[in-house]
Amino acid sequence: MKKTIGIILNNPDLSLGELTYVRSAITLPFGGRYRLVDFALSNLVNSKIRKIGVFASNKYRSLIDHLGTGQEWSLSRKSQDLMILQGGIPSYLGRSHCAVNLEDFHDNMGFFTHSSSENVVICASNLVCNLDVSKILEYHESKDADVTLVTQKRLGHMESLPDDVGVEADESGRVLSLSMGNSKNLGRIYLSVMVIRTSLLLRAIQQAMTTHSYDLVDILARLTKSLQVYSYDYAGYIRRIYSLQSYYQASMDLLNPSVVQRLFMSERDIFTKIKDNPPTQYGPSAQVTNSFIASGCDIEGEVNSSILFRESDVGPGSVVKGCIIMESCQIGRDVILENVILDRSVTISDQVVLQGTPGNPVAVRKGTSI
Amino acid sequence: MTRKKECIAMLLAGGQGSRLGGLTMNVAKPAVLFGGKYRLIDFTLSNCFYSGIDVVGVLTQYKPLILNTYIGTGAAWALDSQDGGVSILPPYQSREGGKWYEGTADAVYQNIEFIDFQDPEYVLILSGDHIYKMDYAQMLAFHKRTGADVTISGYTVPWEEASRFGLMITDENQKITRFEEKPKNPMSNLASMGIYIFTWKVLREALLRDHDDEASQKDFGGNILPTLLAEGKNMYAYPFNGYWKDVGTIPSYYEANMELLDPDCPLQLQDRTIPVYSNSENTKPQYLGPEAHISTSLVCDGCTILGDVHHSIISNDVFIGRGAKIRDSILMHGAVIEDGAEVYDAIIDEKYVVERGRVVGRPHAGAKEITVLSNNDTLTGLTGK
Repeated sequence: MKKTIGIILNNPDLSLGELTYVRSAITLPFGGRYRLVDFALSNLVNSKIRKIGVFASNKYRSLIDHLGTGQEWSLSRKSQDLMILQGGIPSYLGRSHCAVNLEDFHDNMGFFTHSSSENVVICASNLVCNLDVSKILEYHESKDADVTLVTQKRLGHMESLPDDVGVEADESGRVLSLSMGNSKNLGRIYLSVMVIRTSLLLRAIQQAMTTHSYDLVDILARLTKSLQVYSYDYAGYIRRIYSLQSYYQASMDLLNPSVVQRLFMSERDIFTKIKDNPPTQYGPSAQVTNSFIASGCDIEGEVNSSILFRESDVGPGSVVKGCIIMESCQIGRDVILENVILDRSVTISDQVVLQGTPGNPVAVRKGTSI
Repeated sequence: MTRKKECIAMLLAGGQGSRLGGLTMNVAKPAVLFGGKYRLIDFTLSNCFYSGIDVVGVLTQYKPLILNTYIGTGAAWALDSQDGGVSILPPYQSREGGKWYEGTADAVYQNIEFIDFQDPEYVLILSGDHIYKMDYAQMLAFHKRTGADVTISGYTVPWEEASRFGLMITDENQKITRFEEKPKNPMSNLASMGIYIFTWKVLREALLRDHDDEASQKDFGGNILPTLLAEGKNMYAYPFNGYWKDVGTIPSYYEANMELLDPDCPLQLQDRTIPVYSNSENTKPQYLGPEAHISTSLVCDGCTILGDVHHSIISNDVFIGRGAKIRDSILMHGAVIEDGAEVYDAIIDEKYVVERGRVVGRPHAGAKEITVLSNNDTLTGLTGK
């Protein structure tokens, strides 16, 4: 494999209401103990990529805290395997965000020029998937491609998002055209993961600074004829988190053991910041079914079809159903929570009732007491 | 050159723990699993961090591989500081040759150089196989306040168990007037916990003399302490009143685990103000299936529970199939209980598979009749008797 560096993007404009009040979506807690960035970062690390830059944005505290020195992902502090890159400045300045913003890249030029890499893998941070990036790199090299876009074949029932990039490719996988926004009639959609030759990326950054056209995907769309752009079809499990509803749905997918098996397969672990908790304690009156539960919880009540993060407590007589309960929440006695998302450190007093619907879950901001 | 340390710890972790049978077939006793995710040594290492002792020499000998890997740099217990840390100290060769640690005192004797290099005022001697939360800083303050040469941490045990321990008689100021190692007829029920603070100068000299004494068993309780007392050294008993367990046998190991399920258990693993640290693995959360039943149990990460579990301790990555029934049992890392199997009053060792429909153990058999199932063939079916 040729020398490759990884980049994890951060979309400061991606809003999930109450859940992105204190953090940007890149560190959104997911699946009992993970944060969204863990998927992209683990996918890169599992493919032996040892130089990774992660874009921070204005709400960066939880990102710095979470990544630490990178040791949980086997990244070494000494050789500076993991770099936090400054980003999101255009978005501060009121300019609209674009998917791969080359102005952000330009602000971190040293990171790209100092490493002698051949290729750069650019990943979005809002994807829940276990992607074998080394396979994509093999494909990229076998095609001698300038750019390889990871795509998904469009199926009838698939959601269509306003930001979707449609991809039209021939039988060999060569991309013929890319279309932004109006992509419904093209065969594939772009999954926001690409491999690009470093030399091409550097040229694109320089050019973007003179033309003030900063969107890499947009630039590629205009160059499909002159560049070797290929599409790599990914058929495995993937969920894109772009709204509170999509977050809720992707979380509930974890109650399906076959999804858990595909997402947390042992040969390609998803790594995260390790916290030291005691085992989860189930009391004499606990009734827990169909749930995904992290360590350090203390459960006395009834929990059904829910995700519980670390160190959350459910008091006796309480019923928690269809909920996502983030870390360190305290749920008192005789509480009823249905289709509710509690952000971290929320306290729910005795006998409180909160009910949402699966299509419209109630979200409670971090640290709230009700 | 390292900065001078006031007090460093030497942690004795070479024990085989042969009375724990199959549980110590492949690991040293301090590496035996406890309470689901912990290994016995977690308690002592966590106490060191909590007490501000950041130089810990771990003396290993029997089956050290898992223990050494587990301890690593000591980072899991926040003991990987710049000028301190955990050092694993197996027996080593010198110009005069090398030999195994022949007793607890000999193990420390062979590492005099390590201690001298740290140049401490006091040395704390610890065992790696006790379950307790203790602030050694308070014991050190007691040692300094009394002006002792040796302080022994003392615990009041039931009279019928007293003869298993080193026993002490003290005066009204906790000054030790008599010490006897495991006497047949106990003269006291104040037991030595095997936790000692020595003024290093006193211990260093005693170790040198003990080494030259060919009749000596090279043991702290049997030789060093009685000799120092006979010489008229100042020895005090530091009274400890918290929870403390030395799980030397299968029944006591089982009972200590089951006590964790009692909401009034004084050990308080869930107490987040004094956490017990461990070298946690990266494992996904546990999953409880649509037909799962679970009550009064501790469950660790990575488990899949589809069956019925009551009053049990379930370690990491255990699988419990549909219709399986688990009662009053301890399931170790990676154990598999297939659909419909039943497990009563049993310890199921790491990665052991209880096949579909098999019934293990007897309901309410109790600690003395525990069934232990291990992949070490010779021990399959070994009971706690």
